[in-house]
Amino acid sequence: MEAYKLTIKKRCFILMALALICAAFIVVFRFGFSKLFAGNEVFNFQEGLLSAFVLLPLIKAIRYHKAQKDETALRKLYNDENDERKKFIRQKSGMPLMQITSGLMIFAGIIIGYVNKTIFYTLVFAAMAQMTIAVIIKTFYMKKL
Amino acid sequence: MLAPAHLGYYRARLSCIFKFLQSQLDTKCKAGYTIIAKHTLHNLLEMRIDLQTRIKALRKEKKMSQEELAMAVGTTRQTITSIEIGKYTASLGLAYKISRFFGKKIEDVFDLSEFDNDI
Repeated sequence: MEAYKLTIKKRCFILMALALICAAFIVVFRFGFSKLFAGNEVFNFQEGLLSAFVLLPLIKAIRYHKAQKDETALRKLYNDENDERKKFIRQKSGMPLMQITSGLMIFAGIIIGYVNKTIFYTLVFAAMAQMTIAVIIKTFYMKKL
Repeated sequence: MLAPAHLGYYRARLSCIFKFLQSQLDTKCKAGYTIIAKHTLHNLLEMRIDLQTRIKALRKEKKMSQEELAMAVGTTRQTITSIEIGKYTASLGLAYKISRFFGKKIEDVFDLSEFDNDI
């Protein structure tokens, strides 16, 4: 469990760093480019996404921080992460790859969105559809298994 | 002495009574068979349930909750529930952990009879 505690500490650090980087990007975009891209949907979407990347890692980091103090919570977290049934369900719903491809599609969509908005919408909706299907499959297997 | 006409009458009555008794017996037997069949099926189902939920029985013996067992063997409560009701088949590692936790062999905790014919 001590090794896992160290892993959690590392994860906390990484998540906090990610939140800080995203917050820095928000500040830079807000004060540096907001006039240039005023009313641009892609720019607004990008800001929204960055805000989510500030909030979500922070929530997760707080959860990890709390678990570090409580041995039972840490054990539960460890069991939850290493649960074979959950791992199996995640594999069935194609989770790691689906998340990576969806992330890449959104990232590519944002970059291309400044040139062509149709591609941006297509990529973002495709990524969202992909994620929705993965969640539906996951829910189905959670009920089935 | 009975006259042949009367004899015929009584024979017919007796035949009717026999038919009635036969039908009653048949009905009772059918009902009996049905009850026996129902009991056998119920027992078989009970046996099957017992085999599937041996973890539950062992857990009850130790007066443990699913959460406690899950914590002890390094899994989640949902997984224990799924294994108990036969929705999910535990891996060899988890089956070993559970069996070892109860101080029993894997075959004493899990029903492996379905694999007997495959060997």
